[in-house]
Formats: sequence, C-alpha cells, structure tokens
Amino acid sequence: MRNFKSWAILPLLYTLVACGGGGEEEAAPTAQPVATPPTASAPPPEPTSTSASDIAVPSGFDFKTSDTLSVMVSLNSSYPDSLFLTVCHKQSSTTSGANQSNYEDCLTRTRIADGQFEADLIISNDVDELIATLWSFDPVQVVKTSEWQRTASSTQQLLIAE
Amino acid sequence: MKPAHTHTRPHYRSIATRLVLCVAGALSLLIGQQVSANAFDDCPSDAFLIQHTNARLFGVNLATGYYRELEDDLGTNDKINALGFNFHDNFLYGWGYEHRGPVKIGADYQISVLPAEGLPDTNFYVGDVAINENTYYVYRSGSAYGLYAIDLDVADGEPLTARRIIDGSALKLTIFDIAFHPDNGFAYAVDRSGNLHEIDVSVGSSQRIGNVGVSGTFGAAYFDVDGYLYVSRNSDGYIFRINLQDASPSAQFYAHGPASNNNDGARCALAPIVSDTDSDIDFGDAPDSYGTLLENNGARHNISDNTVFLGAQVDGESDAYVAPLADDEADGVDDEDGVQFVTGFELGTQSIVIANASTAAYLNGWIDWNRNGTFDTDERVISQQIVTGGDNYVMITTPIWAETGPTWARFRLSSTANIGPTGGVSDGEVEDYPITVVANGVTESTYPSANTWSTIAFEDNWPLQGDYDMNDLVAHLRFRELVREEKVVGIEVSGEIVAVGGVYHNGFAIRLPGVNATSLPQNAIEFWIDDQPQSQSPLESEQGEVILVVTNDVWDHVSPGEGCTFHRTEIGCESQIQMTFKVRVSFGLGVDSSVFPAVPYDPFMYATPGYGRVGFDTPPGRGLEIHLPGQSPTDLFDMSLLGQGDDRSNPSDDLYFRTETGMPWALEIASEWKYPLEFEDITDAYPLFESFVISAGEENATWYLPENADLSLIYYPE
Repeated sequence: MRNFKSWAILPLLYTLVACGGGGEEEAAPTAQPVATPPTASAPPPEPTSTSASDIAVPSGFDFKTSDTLSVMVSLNSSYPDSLFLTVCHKQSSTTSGANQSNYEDCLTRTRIADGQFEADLIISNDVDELIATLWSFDPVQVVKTSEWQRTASSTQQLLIAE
Repeated sequence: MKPAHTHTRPHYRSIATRLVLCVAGALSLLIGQQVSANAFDDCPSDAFLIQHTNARLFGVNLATGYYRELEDDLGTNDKINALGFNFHDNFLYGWGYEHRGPVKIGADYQISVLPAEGLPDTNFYVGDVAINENTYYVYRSGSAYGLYAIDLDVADGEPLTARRIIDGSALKLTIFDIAFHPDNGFAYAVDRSGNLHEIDVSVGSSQRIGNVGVSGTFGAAYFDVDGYLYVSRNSDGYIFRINLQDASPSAQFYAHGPASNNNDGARCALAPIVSDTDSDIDFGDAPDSYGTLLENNGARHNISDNTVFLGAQVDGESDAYVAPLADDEADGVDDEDGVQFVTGFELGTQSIVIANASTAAYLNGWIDWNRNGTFDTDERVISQQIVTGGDNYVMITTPIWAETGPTWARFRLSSTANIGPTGGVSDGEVEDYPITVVANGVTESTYPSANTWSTIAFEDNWPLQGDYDMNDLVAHLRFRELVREEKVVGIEVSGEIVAVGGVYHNGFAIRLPGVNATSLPQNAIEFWIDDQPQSQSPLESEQGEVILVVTNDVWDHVSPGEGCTFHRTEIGCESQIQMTFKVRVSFGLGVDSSVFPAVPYDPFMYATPGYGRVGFDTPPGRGLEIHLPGQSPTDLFDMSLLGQGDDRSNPSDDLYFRTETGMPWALEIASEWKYPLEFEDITDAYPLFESFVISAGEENATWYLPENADLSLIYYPE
C-alpha cells in the first residue's frame, strides 16, 4: 500500500498546487487567467454559484453525451442484391452539394446483401440530422436516400425500408 | 580527335561567388555598353521560348510547362534562333534570320539588329550567352562554319566582332541548342540520339558525357541556378531534367511544355526554377517518397488560368508542403476538396469515388496498393478518363494483392491527358488523400464520425478532488472499427493531446475492457506519433487485457508556451497542438462484437513513474490510474488507493473513480469540446452542466457546445 498522507495536511498541500497536480519540486502555478472579451453576440448563460464539487450526482449517472441510433435497412427484391450503404453528416449548407452526404464525414460505410442490414451507431447529443445513402454498383448510382432528424423520442432510429 | 584539354565535372560555386557575379552583373547594367532603358528588370525564373517562322516569343515556367505568349511581333518577318539570356546586361540575344546576324531583344520584346563582323553568311540555330564572360556564342557544324565567340563588350555604334573558335568539322555535333552552366563555364547540349555533350567554348572542344536515355530534337536547352539542365523536345514539348551531378546523368521527365517544329529557348541560368514568390503552382500533399516536393519532381500544376481544378478551389504555392505539414492544415485553405470516397477500399472489390471537376478535363489517379511509398506503374487506377464539369462517379477496383492498412491516393485533373504521378503540367490540380485498404466484406464504423473528434478530459489530482477545470489532460479521440461477420477484426484510434493544464507527469493509455492481450496475433499493432511510425509497441506488458500506452509522459511531447506554466490552458498561451497519435490493432479472426467494448473503450491516465505527487511520500507511479466513471482500473493499478482521499470507489458495487457526491475525475464528451481555462470551474464555464448532471442527462444534453459556454472562461483560441 502506498503511504498516502493524512488528510490533516492535505488542504494546505492542495492550495499549493492549485489546479491539477504539482510536481514534487515544482512551484505552484502562479499564472492567473485574464478574462477574455466575449466574442459571442449573445450574452453568456448566467453563471451558477455552484461548484462542480457541490453537485449531487444521481446514482448511476454516467455523464455520457452520446446516444444510440439504430440503423435498419429492409428492402424488397426489386433492389439489386449488392448495395452499398453510407450514413454520413450532410454537406455544409454553404457548398453546392448541400443536403447531400459528406462522404468525408461518415459514421458507417458497408456493403449490404439482399437488402437487409441492422446496426447501432453511437451519435453525439449535438448531432441532429444524418443522411443515409444507398448506392448500386452496376450502374453506379444512388438508388435511395433517407434522412434522419433527431426526435424527442428516447429511441432514435434510421429506417430505410420498402 | 580527343580534346586536348582536360574536362573537370561541374563543381558548384558558393553563394558568395554567385553574389559576386550578381554584383558584377548589376554593375554591368550600370556601366556596360549595351545598357538601354528596355533591359529586363531582373534575372527571371521563367524561361523564354521563341517559336514559329515569323518569330513569336513565349514565357515558359519550366516547372509546369505553363507558357504564355509575350509577343507575336518582334519586329521581324522571319525566324529568330540561337537564343540566349545575357546575365551581364539582362537582354536576350539571338540570331535573326531576316538580317542574317545577331539581334538583341529587350523588355519591349522588339529586336535591335546588331551589326557584326567576322561571321559567315549563314544562319545559326545553336547559341547562348556565357555566364562568366559577356560573350555570345553561336555554333553550326560544317567546315565552312564552326563555333564563334561574339564579344558583346563594344562601344555604342561599333559593330560586334566575332572570332571563330573552331571550325565545324572539328567540332562536329548534331545539336539544336546549347546552354551555359551557371558555374563551371562549360556549355551543354543533348544531340538527337540523346548524347549529352559538354563543350569547352574557350578552345572549341567537347566531351560526350553519356546518353541521357531519350532521343529527339531538343530545340531548347536551359540551366537553373542549381546546375540542373533542362531540355525541351520539339515533337511533343516534353521537358526533361538532367542532373549533371549524377555519375551517369539521365533525363527525367519533368513537365509537359509546348511542342513546336521550330524551337529555341533561353533563361537566366542564375535564377531558381521557381521563384520563392511564385504562388501559381499547385502541389500535392503526400509524403515526398511519392514525388511531391519540387526538388523531387513532385506532381505540380500551373494554376494561372484557374479554369481546370478539382472541387471548389485550388491554391498555389512555390513548393509543396508534405504531410503532416500540408498547406491545407497550415494555411487553413483546404483545397483537397474534389474527391470523395463513397465506399472504402476492400480487397478484390469495387469502390465508388466521386470526382468533382470544374470543367471537362482528363482525370488520372494512382493508389499505393502495396504501401511501398511510391506510385508504381501498376498502381494507376484511373487513366486519362474524360470527366465533365460537376460530379463524376468513378469505379476503382482494389486488387486482391493490395496490402491492407493506411496508404495514399493521388488524383490529377488536367487538360493534358496522359500524365504520370509526378512532374509538371500547365493546368489543373493534384489532390492527395490518405486512405485505408481493408479486407473485403468489412463494415466500417467511426465514432464520433470520420471527420470529428470526441474529447476526454481529466482532473489529475485523484484521489484528491480537483478544481474541476477539467483541463489537466485533454485529448481528442476518434475511433474506427472494422467489423466482419459480426466480429471486430480491427480498430484504429486516432488522437491528439490538446491540453495539459497540470504540472504532474502523466501517462495516457487506452484499455480495451474484456479483450485478452494474448489473443492478439503477431504484428497486430501499428503505432504512429506525429505521423511517424514507432518501433516500440504501445501494448503494455503484464496486463491481461489489451492496454495501449500512447505515452508514458505527455510532457515528453508537449511544452508550455513561453512564459506559460501549462500547455494550451491559459490566456496568452495559445499554441499549436504538439502531439498526435494513431494506433491500429488487427484482431486476426476477430473478437465477437457482442463482447467487444463500446466506444470510447476506456481511455485513462496514470502517474508517470518516478515523479512525486501531493499526498504521497514516494511517487505512486504506474499504480495510480484515473478512469472514466464506471471503468475499473487495470491489472497494474494499486487497489489500496481506492477509497483514499476524496475517492469513494466501491468495487463491490462496480463503482470507481467517484467522489462522495458522485463526481468523476474524467469526462468523455462526444464532440470537440472547448475546455475551461485554467482554474475555471466547469460549472462556471458551462452553466448548463449542473442541470445536465442533476437531471441525469434529461436536460441540457448539449451543455458542452460553445454556444452554451461563458466564452470568457473557456480556452477558445479561434
């Protein structure tokens, strides 16, 4: 067992190292932050008087900032046997391809056979929309697209079915 | 007959010597007899090319072959040939066919006829002006002619005087232009068969150096300041570069230039091939082994016309910035925007690529399938494909013999059809992309996405409660998983250390909970730091699970700014991110998806052995770990530390790294998070954080976005 010091002296020690750790021989950081002029036009949210150390965390809360998106493809036999599925963010609205997939920023890419596919994707809480695109290889073309937009529902699903 | 003198191979003058020459040249401009107001301003990088039976003058960028017409009426009704740039007075000299004698051309691109004595009644098409003397040399084979030196240092109004150095039967060469070396005084030429000749004009002797491997009529020859010889072939306009420093100089294809059946060129041999101020050339970004830098004959396109390019834009520079310092990263202008990869590249399968072209042109492409760092002949994946303006769908088949793993692709769009992976072209754009080749039948998933980051942020004072500025160690992470038949066959974790807001020495590692380290096949792991492959495996020994140690001490890789205590957490201490990393792990036959950990796995930090920490009599070392809430420690953790200080871990309840109130020492945010400044409590920097926590995530789920922050309290260098 490590010889961890008694708590009687720890408050003093902690004051010395301030933020984060202090090296064994390191002097306490002395730099104080200088307020940055706000760059946002809107006023910032009201500051709270609560420190993070005061927050009572609900039991079992995991602090996650992501959600699960269930992706399901279920197509009938009128579609080609071999398709390729991409689930991507959209192109920037300032580009000519707005509302199309940004293939440089995808969450998943996969071949699918017989028109069936299921997977769960982890998505950030701030992702509000994605676009799924199905491609055929012969000829090379988009055969179907489907957009997902976040809903209030606790279950997020992106369904491509026909 | 063998020349009587002894040739010495070129040796290169010092910069100081060149400066002397430059000063001499400048003085010559001031006091020389040929000075007039219409000399060229300087020693230009562009070459001059004169073509057509009614002489027309062009400016040529030898690096790309881009040319523009400077003048279509030089004041003569016939050809001009034997062109040379005179460094001593900044005029062009040539042989005017109309007047059958020397002419001088200034910045107004009009000829002045120069009366001359001592020359035969004929026309010369081989000539250049020497560097180390103010003398114009012309040559024609045949006993009635030969090599003539025309002294340009004459008084105004006086005729030039020529003297024959040697007759054209003694110096018998089938050449079409000569160029003077910038340093050694010799002239050089390549004959129709590709033989390279070194000519000592002082005595009229020559020496065959060797064959450069190409043949044809090389109607224009040039030198640059580094001693490279360039020759332009009349039939196809190909410009070849010859390095005279090589033991056996050979011609390397360099650029596509203008073709002509009547061709002569000149340039100031003391100028670099591309000026430092030239920004009209687009280069690639791939590592230089692929041919990217100008020195290595990198792929390059002149963008002066700005009509043929990929995507929305193309930017230029005077030389390439190769990965990882590509100019797209450095200048914030990402012009690698014309190619999108719809599919991945799977062995033996077809892939779909979207190439967005500004206009109809030819597309060529290469992928380094065997990952040997070059684009080989059999790695050309798109050949002279005609594309139209807008999106074009292109199919590429990944060969079954390709090596799986990261590699590079190069795409070139141009109005020139048949171009290679290197060399210059007069228009268009080159775009290089890092790609990854995977086995077939693989589903690829990326968290948060292929172009975004998640963030892991630590308080490193455990087991003491910290100040909750959550910036003692901050890393961006991206996770890529390859799944085949419901087995994870590979992962790739990319990241960057974005902040170190504590002075403790900490290691950073990623644990794959439940994945047995002994199940990894040989050579399963590839590891890069700052894009450099690492020979040392990140797999930590004496661990049952897979533990990937990114660094044993982040301070080995980052530094605080000048006058700063920490790395990127203080106002006035903004700096670039200094450490990036990537780890790829292959699992052979794979690990069942059902038991594979969910992203972000378990990124954690630990105390670097040998460094003290507050509250410890001796350095705690590797046994001190800090994990995300709910993640258990590794086999090397000192379990006796649990419950010490402010820690209220309870292994029997599977509760780890929580305080009395349930706060953790680490947060994972599924976005590129702007963390608080030094000493700023997360609840002040992000006022919505508290309600997010109290509501167990039901409220303010996007508390971490910049629009929900007090911008004065977060590190936000943008």
